[in-house]
Amino acid sequence: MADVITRLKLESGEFDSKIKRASQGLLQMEQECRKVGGTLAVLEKDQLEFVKGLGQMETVSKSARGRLNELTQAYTELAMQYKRLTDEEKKGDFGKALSASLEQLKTRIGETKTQLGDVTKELNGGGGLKDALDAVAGKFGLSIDQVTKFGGVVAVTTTAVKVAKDVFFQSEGNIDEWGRTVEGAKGAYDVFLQTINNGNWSNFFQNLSTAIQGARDLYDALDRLGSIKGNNQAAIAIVQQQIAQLRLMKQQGKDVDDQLKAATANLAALQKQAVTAGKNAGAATMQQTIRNGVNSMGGAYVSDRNIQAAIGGILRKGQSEFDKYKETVNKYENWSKAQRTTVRQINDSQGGTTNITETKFDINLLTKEQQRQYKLAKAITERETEIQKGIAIYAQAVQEGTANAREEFKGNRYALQGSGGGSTGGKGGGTTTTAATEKEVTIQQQIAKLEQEAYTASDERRAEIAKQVQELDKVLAAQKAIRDEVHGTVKEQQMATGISGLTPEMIATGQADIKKQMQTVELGSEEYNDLSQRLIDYNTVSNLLQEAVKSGLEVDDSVKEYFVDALTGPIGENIPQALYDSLVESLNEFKEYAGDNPIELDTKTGNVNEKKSEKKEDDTLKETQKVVSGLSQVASGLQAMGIILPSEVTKVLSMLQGAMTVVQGVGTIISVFGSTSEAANTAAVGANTGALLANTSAMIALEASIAANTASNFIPFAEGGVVHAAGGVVAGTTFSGDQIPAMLNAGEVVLNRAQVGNLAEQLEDNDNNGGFGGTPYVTGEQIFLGLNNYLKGAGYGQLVTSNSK
Amino acid sequence: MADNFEIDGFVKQRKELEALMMSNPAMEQKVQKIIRTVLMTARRKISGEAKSAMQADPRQAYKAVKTAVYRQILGGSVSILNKRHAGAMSLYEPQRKLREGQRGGNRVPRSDRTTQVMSYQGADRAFILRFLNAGTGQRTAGTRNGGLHGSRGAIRARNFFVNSSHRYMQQAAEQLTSLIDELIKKEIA
Repeated sequence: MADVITRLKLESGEFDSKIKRASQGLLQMEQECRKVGGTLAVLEKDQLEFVKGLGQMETVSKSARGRLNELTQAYTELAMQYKRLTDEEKKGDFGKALSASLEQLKTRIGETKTQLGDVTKELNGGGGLKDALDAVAGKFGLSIDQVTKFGGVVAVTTTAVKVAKDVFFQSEGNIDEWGRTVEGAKGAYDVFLQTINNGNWSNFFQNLSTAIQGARDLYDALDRLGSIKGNNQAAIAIVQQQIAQLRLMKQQGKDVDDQLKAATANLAALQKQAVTAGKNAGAATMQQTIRNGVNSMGGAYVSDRNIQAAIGGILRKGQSEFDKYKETVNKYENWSKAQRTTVRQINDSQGGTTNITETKFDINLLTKEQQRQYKLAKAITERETEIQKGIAIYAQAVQEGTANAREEFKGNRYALQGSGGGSTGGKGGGTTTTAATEKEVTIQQQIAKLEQEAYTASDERRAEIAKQVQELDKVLAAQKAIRDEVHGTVKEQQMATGISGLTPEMIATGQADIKKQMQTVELGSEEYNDLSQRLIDYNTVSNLLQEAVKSGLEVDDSVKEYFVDALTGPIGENIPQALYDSLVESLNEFKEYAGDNPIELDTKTGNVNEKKSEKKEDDTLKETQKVVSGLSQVASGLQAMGIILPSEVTKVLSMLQGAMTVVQGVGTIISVFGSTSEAANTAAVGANTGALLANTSAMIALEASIAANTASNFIPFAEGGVVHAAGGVVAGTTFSGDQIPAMLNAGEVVLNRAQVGNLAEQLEDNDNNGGFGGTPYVTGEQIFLGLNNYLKGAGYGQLVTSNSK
Repeated sequence: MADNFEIDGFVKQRKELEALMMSNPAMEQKVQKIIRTVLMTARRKISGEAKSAMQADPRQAYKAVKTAVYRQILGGSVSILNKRHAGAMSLYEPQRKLREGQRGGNRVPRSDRTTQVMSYQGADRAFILRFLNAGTGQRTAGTRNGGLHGSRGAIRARNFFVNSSHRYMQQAAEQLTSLIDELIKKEIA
C-alpha cells in the first residue's frame, strides 16, 4: 500500500544549538564592548557582580570529565587575565573580585576531580559490573533491576518518566557517574545524553535495556573466560602431571594405555572449555561494540542476527570485509538520493539576509533495509579498532584450540605407539607420523635385502631368512597399524567396538540384503525407490561414521542408536536429511578446528567428498550438459524464427538430451551400487561422458552448418521487418512467449504488453485532477485509453490514441 | 553609562537564552503548539488535494486526513490512518435533507438492520480514503462453474497523499523554522 503517513521531526539538538549560537554571539559582543569600555579598574556595580559571579559560572557539560575540562579552561583564561592586570588593578575591586572567582573555580575543580575519583574507585573495587551499577545507581535512588524492568515494559507512564527525569536532574552531579557506570555500554550513555536534549525517554529506556543487557553479556562472557582459565589452571596442571607420570610408567613397560588415553581426553576437555569461552568472549566483544555503534544512530532497527552475520563475515574474511563496509558507508553518504538540502537564512552585516544552501546526508531518506546496511557498515567502520580487540580474543582462542588439538593428537599417538611397537614406544611423544613411515621403509628395505640374499643362500640359511622375513612382516604390519590408528584412515576395529550395533559387518550385510531385494522388485516402482533410498542411507551412515571416527569426533550414543533403529526399521521410513546435515556440520566444524579440509555429503549417493574437490569429478559431465542445453536453446530459437530444422538434427538433439539423462542416471546408480570402488565409477562415468562428447562434437559441426544455412534466411527477415530504432508498438497478434525477433542496442529496455499497460495506467492515475476515468488498452497497433460509457447519461468519447507509426 | 547599559542588556539576554534551552518544559510546550499550528495548515491543504482528486465523495472521505503532535519528542505527523483505538470509526452519512416542497422528514425510525448495514467494517472515512489513495486491481466476488464471477471493478489510485503531504510538510517545516525564530525573539524581548 502507498505511504499513508508523513512525519515531521524537529531535531531538538538543532533547536538547542540555535539558542546556544545566539547566546555565544551575545557573549562575544559583550566582551567586545568591554574591551572598548575604558579601564577595568573602575566598575559599575553590575559589572562587579558579573566578575564575582564568574566563580559560579555555569558549565554546559553534563559529565564530570567535560565539566572538569570547562572549569580548567575557564580558570586558565581568567588566570591569564588576572596576570595581565597591573598591581593597582589587582588591588582594586575588579582584581579582588577576579581573584575570589579564581579561588572559587579552583575549589570547584578540586571537587569535580574528587567526584571522578570516587566513581573510578567504585567501579574498580566492586564485585562486578552489576554491583557497580547498583552501587552508583543507588545514589540517586534507582535500582538497575527496576530500570531494566521499566525499560522492558515499555508502556512507560508519563508520570513515571517525569519522576525518573526529575531524579536525574536533581542529582545532576551524579549523571556522569551513571554514564561512567555503564561505560561498558557506551551506547546507553550516548543515548542518555541525547535523551536529555530531546526528551524521548521511552526510546532511552528501550535502548538502555538493550545496552545494559549487552554489557552484562559481554561482561559475563569475559568473566567466564577469566574464570575458566583461572579455575582450570590447577586441574590442567594436575592432569598434565598425571600424563607425565603415566608416560614414565609406560616407558618402564607398564600397561597404562587406557589411563593415558583417559587423561589425554580429560586434558583436552579442560582446555576446550577455555577455547569455547574465548570464542564466545571474542564474538560477544565484537557484538557489543557493533551494537553500541548501531544504537547510537537513528533509523531502522538492526537485529542481533544481522550483527552476528556481519561478525561471521569479519572473522572469515578479515580486512576485505572491513573494506566492503567502508565502501558501503561511502556509497550511501555520497549517494545523491540520500542528501537533504536545507536552505538557511542568516543576517548579514549589511542588515539584509542571505540564503545558505546546505546539503547533508540524511539516513531517513534511505529505505529501511538500506538504513540497516548503512548503520551496520558505519558502526563497523567507525569502531574498527574496538572490533579488533574482539577479533584478537577470538583468534587467541582459535590458536589455543589448534595447539590443544595438536597436543591431544600427540598424547593419543603416544599411547598407541606403546601398544604396537613395544620397545619402540620408549621414544616418547616427540616421534612423528613420518618417523613411523620411515621405520616401515627401513623394515621393507631389510625384507628386500633378505629376499635378495635368499636367491643365493643355502637351504638352511633360506629357511632362516624366511623366518626372519615373517617376523619383520609382523613388525611391519604392527607399524602400519600404528600409523593407521594415528591417522585414523582405517578404524574398523574401533568402529566395531565404539559404535554399538553399527559394525562394518552389519552395514555390509544390510547393503547386500537391500541389493538382493532390489533385484526382485520392479524397476522404478515405489518400493524400488524406497529400497534405493535405504541403500543410500546405509552408505551415508557408514561414510559419515567412518569420517567421524577418522576425525576423532565422538558421535552421541543416542544418534548411533537412532541410526541402528532407522537402518533396521521398516523400509520407506528414511533418515531425515537434517540429521545428516547437522552431522556434516559438526564434522566440518571439527575439521576446521583441526585444520583439515571440510567435507560435503552427496545426497544422491551418500558418498562423502572433500569440499574443495567438488568440481573435479563432474566437471566434464557438467560442461557436456551445458553444451547440450545450449544446443537445444539454439534449436528452439531457430524454430521460433520459423526455420524448420532438418529432421536428422532434431533427432540427434533429442538423442543427446536423452543420453545426458541416461549418463546422469547411470552415474548415480553406479555410485550407489558400488560405493566401495570409486575409481571404477569415475571411469564408467568418464567413459560415458567420452562417448557423449564425441556425439556433441558431431552436433557442434551440424550446428555450424545450420547457422550457415539459416544466415541467408535471417538477413532478409531483418531487412523486411519493422525498424524500431525510434521506438513504437510492435505489430502482430502473438501475445505470449518470444515470437518476434528484436534487434536491440545496449541501454534499451523491453517492456511487455502487460508492463506497458501498467505504465499507461499509472500515468493516468497520477493525474490528480479527477482523472479521465478511462482504462488503458494495449493492442498490436495502439495504446489507448478507453472510457466505459455504459449506463452513463453522456459519453466522453475516446480520450487518447497513440499510434504506432 | 550607555555602553554599560548595553552590556547589561547583553548579559541579560544571554542568560535568558540559556534559560530557554530545551530543559525548559514551558518552552517545549510552546514549540509543540507551533508544530500543531503548522500541521493543521498542512492538513487543510492535503485534505483539499484529496477533495480535488475525487469526482464525488459522498461520505466526505477527504476529511479523514489526520494530524498528530508527538508528546515525547518535538514533531508530528499527518496521516490517513484510522483512528487510534481499535474499532473506532468516524462514520459519516450524507445528511438527509428535505427536497424542496417535501413535507416532513423520515417518519419511519431507522431499523437495527439499517444501522448494521450502514456501519460495515471499513466504513471509516480513513479506510475509504486509503483505498482511494492506493487504488485496487480488478476485484471479483464469488465463483461459479470453477471461474471467478461478479466483477466489482477496480478503484483507480489517486496517489494524492504522498505527493501532497511531502510538499506541504516541507512548507510546514519552513513555516515552523520562522515561527520558532519569532518565538525566541518574543521570549527574550
